[in-house]
Amino acid sequence: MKNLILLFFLTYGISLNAVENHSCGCGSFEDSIVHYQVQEGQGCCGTLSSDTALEGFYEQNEGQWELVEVNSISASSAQKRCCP
Amino acid sequence: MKKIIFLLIAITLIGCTSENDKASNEAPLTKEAFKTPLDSNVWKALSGNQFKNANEVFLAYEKEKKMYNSQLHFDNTMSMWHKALFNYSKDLKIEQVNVILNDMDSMEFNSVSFRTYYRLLYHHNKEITNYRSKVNDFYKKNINYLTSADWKNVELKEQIIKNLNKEHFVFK
Repeated sequence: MKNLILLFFLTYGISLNAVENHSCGCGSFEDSIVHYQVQEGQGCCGTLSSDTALEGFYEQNEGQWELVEVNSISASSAQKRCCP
Repeated sequence: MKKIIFLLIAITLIGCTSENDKASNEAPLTKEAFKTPLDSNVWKALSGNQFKNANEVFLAYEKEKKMYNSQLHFDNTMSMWHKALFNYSKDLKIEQVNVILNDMDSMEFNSVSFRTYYRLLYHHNKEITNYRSKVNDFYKKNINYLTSADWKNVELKEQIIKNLNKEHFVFK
C-alpha cells in the first residue's frame, strides 16, 4: 500500500513540476489581437515567460478575417491589455 | 489508511473534472475560428528560441500545414509560420526552401511575411534557377492585391505597401 501511495505522489509531482510556456491572447479582429506567453499553470495573468509579444492586425474580406500584419510589442503591455 | 486512499481518489477525480470543463469551454465560435489556436507551435516558433534548428522548425511547420488544412484559420496560421521562418531562412535546405516558396506563392497575398520570401531568395539564389522571375511575380501579385484591397485601416495598408516597395527595390 505504501508503494501505491508513493507511486501516486511521484506521478502527480512530476506532472506538477513540468513547467512549460503557455500562449495567451485577447483583443478583437476590428482592433487588433495580442499574443504573449506565460509560464504554464499560472493563468494568463501569471508570470511572463518572454519579454516580447505579438500584435496581429486583421481585415475582413468576403466574410473572412484575414491576418494582414504582425508586429512585435512588449509582453508587459500585451498582458496589461488582457489583464486590466 | 482507507481515508488516505479516499482522499487520493477524490483529488484525482477533481483534476479530471476541471480538465473536462476547460475543454468544453474552448469550443470556438464562428468568428473565433479565424484565430490561430493558442496551442499552435507557431507561437513557439515566433518567440525565436524554442526550436533547436531550422530542420526542427520546418518539420513542425509541415505537421501543422497538414493538420489545419481544412480549417478557417489555415491561411492566417500559415502567414504566421512564414513570418517565423524568417529567422531560419539561411539554414533551411533547398528542398525545404522550395516547399516554403511554393506555399507562399499559392497564397493570395503575403503581407505578413514579405521579408521571409526575399530573405529565402537572397540566401539561396544560386540554387533557385528562376529566382528573378519569382521576385517579380511575387511583387506583382502582392502590390496588385494591396493597391486594390478595401481595408478599413488605410494607414496600415499604406505602411505595408511602403515596406513591400522597400524590400523589393533593395533586393533588385
